[in-house]
Amino acid sequence: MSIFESIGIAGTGATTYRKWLDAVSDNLSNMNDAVSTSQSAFQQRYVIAQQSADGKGVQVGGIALGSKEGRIVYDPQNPLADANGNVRYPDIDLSDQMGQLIMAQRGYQANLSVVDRAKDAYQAALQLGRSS
Amino acid sequence: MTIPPIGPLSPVGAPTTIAPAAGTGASGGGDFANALSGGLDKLQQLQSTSDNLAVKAATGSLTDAHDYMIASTQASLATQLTVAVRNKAVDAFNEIMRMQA
Amino acid sequence: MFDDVTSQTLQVALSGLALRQRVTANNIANLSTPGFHAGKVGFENSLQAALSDGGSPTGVAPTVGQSLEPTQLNGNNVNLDEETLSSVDTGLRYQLALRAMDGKFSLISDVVKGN
Repeated sequence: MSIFESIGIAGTGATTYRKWLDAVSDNLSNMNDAVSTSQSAFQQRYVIAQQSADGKGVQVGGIALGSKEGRIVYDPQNPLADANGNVRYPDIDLSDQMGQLIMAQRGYQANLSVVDRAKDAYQAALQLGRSS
Repeated sequence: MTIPPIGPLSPVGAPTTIAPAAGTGASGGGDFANALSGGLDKLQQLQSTSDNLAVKAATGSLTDAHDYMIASTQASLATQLTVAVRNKAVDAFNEIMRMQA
Repeated sequence: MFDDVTSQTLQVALSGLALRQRVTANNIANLSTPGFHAGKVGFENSLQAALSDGGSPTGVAPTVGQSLEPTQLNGNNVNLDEETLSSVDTGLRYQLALRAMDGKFSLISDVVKGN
């Protein structure tokens, strides 16, 4: 993508933010997965963003996983409760995830608007000398 | 009242010749030919630059799109300028030929 | 006059870019088709190779390969961001190549018109 490079670079940004959106939606949908205390809880997904290998844009370095311990909640009515009446829930904070959701969405929109503006700029360049 | 007689005119000095500017006169035509052939060389160079950038654009290795657009516009304007100069030169030549008839 | 290296290169590029637009549209249309693998059109590298040997670009044909993106659960590996941006980029490159062809023709017509 070397001629119109800005579009490719913004594209790497858009892909990374979309993966962040996917991770957040994964976390939110599994937020209340109860498991018994003998198993590990759902681990929160974190997207690791790093600068792209060729220096042009960003890439996803990997997905890190949060703590397996989760929160121990006293809920003896739950069919999964152990002898002490405890159940393990994932350690995911709803307000934190909503904040991340907003940031990921804004980042995605910002990268797409870079694509838009770059496209306008390149089209203006293609009109050079066309007035005749 | 007495009117004094008109005296003899003093001779007008011989006109001083202005030294010809360097390169004009007999060498004026050579200058124009040089300018024209220099212009053609430059035009050839501009057209070949524009071609090279067009090939780079086709293979996707051009870094900036405006480089090609600028080179193409320069080549086009230089062509039009050369054509206009040629037309004027031909017109001037025809004008002179008409004078002699 | 019309078959110099530059014109031939531009013609190969134009047909390659048009094919890329069609393949991208096909990929986007099959965004949710299970088992569908996105196609990718390549011609720049083979064009570059043909030209660097000093050879003629007429033999270069655009090739359609398979995208190596990771697949989702249903076997579909179309990356919507990638395809959308590829569509924008290809459109701009197509315009640039058309301008280049136009530039070559207009040089000749400038001389022919003569005024």
